[in-house]
Amino acid sequence: MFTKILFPTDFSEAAEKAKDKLVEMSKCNIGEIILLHVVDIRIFSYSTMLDIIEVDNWKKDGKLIKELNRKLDAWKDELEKAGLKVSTEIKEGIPFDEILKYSENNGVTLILLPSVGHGVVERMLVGSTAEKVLRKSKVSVILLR
Amino acid sequence: MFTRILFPTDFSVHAKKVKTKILKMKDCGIKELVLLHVVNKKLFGYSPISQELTINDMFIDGDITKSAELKLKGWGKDLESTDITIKYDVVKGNPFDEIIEYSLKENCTLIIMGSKGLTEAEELLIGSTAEKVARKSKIPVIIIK
Ligand SMILES: Nc1ncnc2c1ncn2[C@@H]1O[C@H](COP(=O)(O)OP(=O)(O)OP(=O)(O)O)[C@@H](O)[C@H]1O
Ligand SMILES: [Mg+2]
Repeated sequence: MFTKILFPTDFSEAAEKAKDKLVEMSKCNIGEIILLHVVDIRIFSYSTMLDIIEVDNWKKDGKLIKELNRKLDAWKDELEKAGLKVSTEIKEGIPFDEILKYSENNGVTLILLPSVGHGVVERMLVGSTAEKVLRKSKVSVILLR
Repeated sequence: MFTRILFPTDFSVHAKKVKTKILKMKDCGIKELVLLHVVNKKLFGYSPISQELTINDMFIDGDITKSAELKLKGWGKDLESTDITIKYDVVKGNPFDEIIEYSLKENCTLIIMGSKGLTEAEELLIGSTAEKVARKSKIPVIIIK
């Protein structure tokens, strides 16, 4: 049941707490963990509309991806120290959609969801992500608190 | 997180699937497992037969609770093992309210339940009891698909 856990993270406080819970679960004979960050393409629609950023710029100069990889690797290190087997993954799209797609296409057996995200706007986004994953997932889900 | 697990069951095939998952959670350090069935008040309506004797008095406080207890004990037999203490409990009321209240009152650390239950609705991915408990619980919830 815990053979392949998908842990989608937005690096929020709630996700941070979820990471600690995952460490608590490490004695559970966990196979592997995939740390996934989805670059939410919806945030780019505003900036392109206002000409602040070219849609593809964040990919071209590679800064965003570099920073995300740095963060993901730090989390990976921490989880590996607890004896877990971890890999990282970055996708772009709408978070709930990418989470569902990834889990169905990669034999994920459990999706880990922190319950709330950070900030007022983010909280709504993260909240709706968790809610949609919960409702549409074909894979077992754990909601952490 | 796994010390005192609450497993609410409606005896459905989905709840049965949860049982097989729990059997695979041996390494998680489960100390106590509470099997709970909520006698759903809604199914009996509330109109009293007479002023003195309500339907609740006749069934919920009498035979139905008792037979649910018997059924629960038989149903949970295969979960019994030497290192886990099992408790059986039957309460009456509205399933999702009772499950959440019970989890708090009994200091449970995790709820594990099926994504669906007795209602045979194929197009549905999650039942109303599971969804409400997942959203409103104060402790972690695993929803088994
Ligand atoms: N009366 C109950 N007592 C204890 N646990 C229950 C009860 N009803 C449901 N559950 C738990 O909730 C899980 C999901 O069932 P749920 O009731 O949400 O789905 P459903 O019956 O298919 O749909 P719905 O009840 O919304 O018509 C069950 O597998 C079981 O673990
Ligand atoms: Mg039901």
